[in-house]
Amino acid sequence: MLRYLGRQLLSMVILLLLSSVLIYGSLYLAPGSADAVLFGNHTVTPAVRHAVEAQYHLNQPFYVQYWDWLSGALQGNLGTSIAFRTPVSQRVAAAAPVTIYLVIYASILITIAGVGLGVASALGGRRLDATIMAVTNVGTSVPTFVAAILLLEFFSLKLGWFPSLGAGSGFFSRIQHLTLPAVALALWAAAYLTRVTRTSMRDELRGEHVATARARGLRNSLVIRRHVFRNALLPIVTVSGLQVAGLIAGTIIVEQAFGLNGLGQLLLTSVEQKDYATVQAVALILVGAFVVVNTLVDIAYTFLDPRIRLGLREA
Amino acid sequence: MSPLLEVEHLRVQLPVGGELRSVIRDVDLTLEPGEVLAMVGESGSGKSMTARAIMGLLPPGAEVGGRIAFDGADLSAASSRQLRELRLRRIGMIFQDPRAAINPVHRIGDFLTEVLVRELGVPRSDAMKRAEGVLQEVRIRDPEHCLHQYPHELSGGMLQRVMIAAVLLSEPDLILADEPTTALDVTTQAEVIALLSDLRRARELAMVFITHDLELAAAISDRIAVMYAGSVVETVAAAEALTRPLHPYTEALLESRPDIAVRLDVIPQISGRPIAAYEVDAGCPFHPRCRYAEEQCSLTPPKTALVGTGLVMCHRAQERLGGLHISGEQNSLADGLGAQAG
Repeated sequence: MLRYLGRQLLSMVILLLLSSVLIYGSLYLAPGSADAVLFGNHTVTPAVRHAVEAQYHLNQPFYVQYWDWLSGALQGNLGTSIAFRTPVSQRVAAAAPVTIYLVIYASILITIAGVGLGVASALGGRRLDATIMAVTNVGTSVPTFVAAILLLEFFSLKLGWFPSLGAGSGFFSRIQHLTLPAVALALWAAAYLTRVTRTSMRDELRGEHVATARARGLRNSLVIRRHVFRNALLPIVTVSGLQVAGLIAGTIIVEQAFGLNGLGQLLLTSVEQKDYATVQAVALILVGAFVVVNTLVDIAYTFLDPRIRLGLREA
Repeated sequence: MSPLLEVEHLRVQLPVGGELRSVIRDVDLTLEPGEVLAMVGESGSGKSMTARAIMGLLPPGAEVGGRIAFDGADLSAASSRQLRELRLRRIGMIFQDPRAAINPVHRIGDFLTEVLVRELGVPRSDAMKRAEGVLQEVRIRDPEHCLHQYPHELSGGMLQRVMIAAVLLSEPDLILADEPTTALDVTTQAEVIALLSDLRRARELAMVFITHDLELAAAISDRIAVMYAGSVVETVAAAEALTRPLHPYTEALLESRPDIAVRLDVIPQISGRPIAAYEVDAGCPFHPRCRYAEEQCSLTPPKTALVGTGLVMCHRAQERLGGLHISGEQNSLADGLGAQAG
């Protein structure tokens, strides 16, 4: 058990390091240099150029630059924004809350709707099942940006139930502002999770151990909870984890559509402004969150399936 | 003494791709308290379905006809609550493959005690003690450790013992054992059979033992019901089935059994293929493969009748009883098995 956890954590650290090298390296190799952004169309004397390069460590070899950047990042120093001349950590801190709230809100919606509808579909009658399947069919075929526009058009502009822009302040206003973005973000994933839950439940329902549980006289609700749903959880948790990790990237589109100043928005504007330090920092955070969520899912497996705990089965 | 279990004219149809197909055509069984009845037949002959029908565990959409009575109460009239009550306290079922039948995600202790704790209101610590005791009875070496293990940590034989323990915990009057050793290797089979036999005898439980092994059936049971294509074709005392088979199918089964003492180049088989219950036409289900078949066999279905000491479903049973040759070799073999079982 502990060995398994240790192995998971070690592979997480390695994965994070590798992705940080990739993130830093890809921007290092990308066309256009930091100099061009810093000096724009100004012509500068070699002395000035040299001084500025030294200030941003641009004259150092790649691995030194990378190490400076990484050790700084680990201490919370994400560098200085080239475009704004302010610490990147400040800009990230300002943008992060909206994205975090949005991801949490959408994750809750995905889990409740996906698992709830999936279970209802697997256990309910033929008509209920057909209805839910039709709805999820639509859900999985509407791209997030289309969903965002449709939701805005209908609930915000036509009905006026929800605001169309901004993140709001204070708990209730926040929820009101973030509902449509969260729904837009959750729609596809919830529909997909519904299907996975339904299939997984149906597979387990056919299982011989379910017949045993019934043969022993266990009441139906217990059979479903302890022998069907409990066993169906593994694929459900896997897909939920992947979906939540995927949401972090999905926020870029939704924040744009609903005018939210989150990390996605920050990433987009920083790319446009060629603000290297900020792009690197945001990319590192998004990838890091993805890797961490996936590791959490792997660890959750060990609680769900005792066979994985002992390394008898690969997660 | 009134019978513990009575099955009369049981018919079961299952929905297959929009139509109903017969899986059990006509099954009659009776079982006295403490008696062991073996049901023998090929795969698909309806043995397991009969057990599931008794348990009320048929797949959704199944159509059931006839009558099943347990301890005088008609089960077809029972509410789902009464059926559950029956499964909780009076009928236990052992399945073929313990690895599939025991939920892999719960500990053995949880599995054994879940019915006691969650349905019968036994305090958890008491239930655990009882589970430990019953694991000892099924001869598991370290019961306390076993309670904390997961199913995948035990061998198939151990798991089947756990399954038997689970059934014993509910102190039933009847055990339905559906090929309980088919999934196990041969040495383990013998141990599990001996264990099941001993525990059953000590507690005077009745048992329906399903198998496709006629000799095993004869060794473990008092009576044998031979099934073919969804019908019971012969019901006789266990020893009789091996020595004086009256139904041609039982006879053919006996002949196709390899003998360890005789070297054969070709193992005798029953010619033709086994048919499913829904394929049976107007006549006797076995007539296409029967060496004794006459014209009437393909025209009218035979009725089950008392012939000699057994119930046989064959047009020619009476005349076969008269002219049957009993070989001494088969007799001694049956005696040997009987001694083994004792």
